[in-house]
Amino acid sequence: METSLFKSIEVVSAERAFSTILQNIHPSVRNALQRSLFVRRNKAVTAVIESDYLDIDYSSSFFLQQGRSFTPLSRRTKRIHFFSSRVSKRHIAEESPEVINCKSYLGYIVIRPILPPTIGRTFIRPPESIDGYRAFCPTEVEVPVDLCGIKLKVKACPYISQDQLVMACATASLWMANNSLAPKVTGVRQCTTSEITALALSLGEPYGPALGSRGLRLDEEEKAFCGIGYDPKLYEYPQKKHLVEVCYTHVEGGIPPVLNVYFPPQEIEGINIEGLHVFTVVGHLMDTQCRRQEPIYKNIYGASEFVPAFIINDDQNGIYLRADVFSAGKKQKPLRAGLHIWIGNKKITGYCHSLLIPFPPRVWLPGTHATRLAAYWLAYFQSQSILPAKPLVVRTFLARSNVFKELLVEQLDIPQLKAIYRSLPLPRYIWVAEYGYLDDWIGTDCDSLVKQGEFIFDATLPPAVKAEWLTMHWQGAILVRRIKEETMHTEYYSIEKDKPCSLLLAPVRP
Amino acid sequence: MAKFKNKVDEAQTTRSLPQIAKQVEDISLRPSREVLQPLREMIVELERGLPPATSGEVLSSRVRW
Repeated sequence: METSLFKSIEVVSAERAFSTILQNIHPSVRNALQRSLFVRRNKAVTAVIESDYLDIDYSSSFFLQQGRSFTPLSRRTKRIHFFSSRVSKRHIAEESPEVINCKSYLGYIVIRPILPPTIGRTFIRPPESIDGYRAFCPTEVEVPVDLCGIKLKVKACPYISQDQLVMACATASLWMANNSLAPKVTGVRQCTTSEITALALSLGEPYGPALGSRGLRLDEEEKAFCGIGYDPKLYEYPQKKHLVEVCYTHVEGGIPPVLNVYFPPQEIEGINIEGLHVFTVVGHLMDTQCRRQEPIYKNIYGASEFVPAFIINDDQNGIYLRADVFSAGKKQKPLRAGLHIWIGNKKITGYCHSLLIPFPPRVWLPGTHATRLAAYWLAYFQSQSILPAKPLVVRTFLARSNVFKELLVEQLDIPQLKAIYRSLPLPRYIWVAEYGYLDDWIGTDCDSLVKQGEFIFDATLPPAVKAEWLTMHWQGAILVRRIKEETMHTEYYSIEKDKPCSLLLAPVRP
Repeated sequence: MAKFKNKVDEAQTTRSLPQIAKQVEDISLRPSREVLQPLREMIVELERGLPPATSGEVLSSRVRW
């Protein structure tokens, strides 16, 4: 096979890619990428470099900036694909599926042709664990990739760093959140970073670096999300307990919260850090051995009880970073929750000012309200001796109702219950609150957690003090509400052969 | 599938619901202020710890991120 035809492709070892082409990128960003690719079960072995890659995002910003310069500047980027197998040019020429396949493919990084080089659209598979904790990234998205006609795909959380030309950190974070949701949500579109900045600034025309690099105000962040098609919600000065809960609940349903953070003056690796910054929460760590002991109500706890830290994508500091949440001291008022962001073995400290959650269109009820509705009904059932008065743990996540039904078909082995759920008309988006016994969860492997039942709430309802519900299932019975002629009718079924079962796997599509 | 249909047909309608279902329906449709008090308390506590940005303080902030 003629390998010399593949002139724009270069194959090197993964280590060599980092010591050459990726050497000059920001050290924190480079180190985080290295950790993601090398500190994992199937480590990166080979890098395949596409030298003349036309990147959609860079191209759109190029024509606003460098493309208007008299001196010719390159609009071609480099895209580096990583494989955990030993790949050669011959394998690419011969389309060897035993070497080049989705199993060994770890994703790609785009390098912008500017000095110093920065990271463009990047999709790298998330790590399985961080610092010994199991890592979960339910906001990951499946990305199709074409490498010289070979079809590949990778599940990854989108990452991009700012170019300081058409965007600052706010745009980069909005892009990361949008690219994680847009392929999964009907009614929103994928936007380039330059389009996001234009939406935020209400600009229908090309704009220059003076506008693009100055950052976004909070209302502009909101406006950009609205312009893309989301129904965003903005919260201010969260307390630690609530920041943990709100991030966990929404991340678990595939929605990446965007955090606006203030960094007091500090230094890391010789670089001064101070000021306002934005990043995206893409996942969480899980440890059932330790607990926060922060109940939602009486003896009812959220599953965020077992979340020691979050996983964030920070355009300035790197991909898949660990962020620990702590209570801020009085000195930081009105800021109430702090974050230690780990960059290798060093940390930087910031304080959460506000957070923005990009809800899919028509989603109105926040997940934190759904958890409280579940807690209310669970406590009520306990008071009526329907449920034993044991501490309970609730895991709430947003799901497309059709995806929820698909998951039931795949995962639930109680035919009667499955049939009841499948027969039920549901709104497009639902909050699912699965609950189990806290004692059963403590110390249990994350893959073996069991639920005793689940409640479903209409995500399109306003967050009012109203004890609304769509279904409530506990061991041996289920209550469902069906709509007939614009009114809700309650039905009761006793479930024969009911049993505790595994948690539904995090939905890939929200 | 036939088995499932039978089960649905056997669903207990509102008139013949067991006690717990009737209580739940009452709370959902005709709640008293008292019975909703725990939910109200939970939501008040939530909004204290995670205030929606309606106070204007955050939204009126002119800083750029």
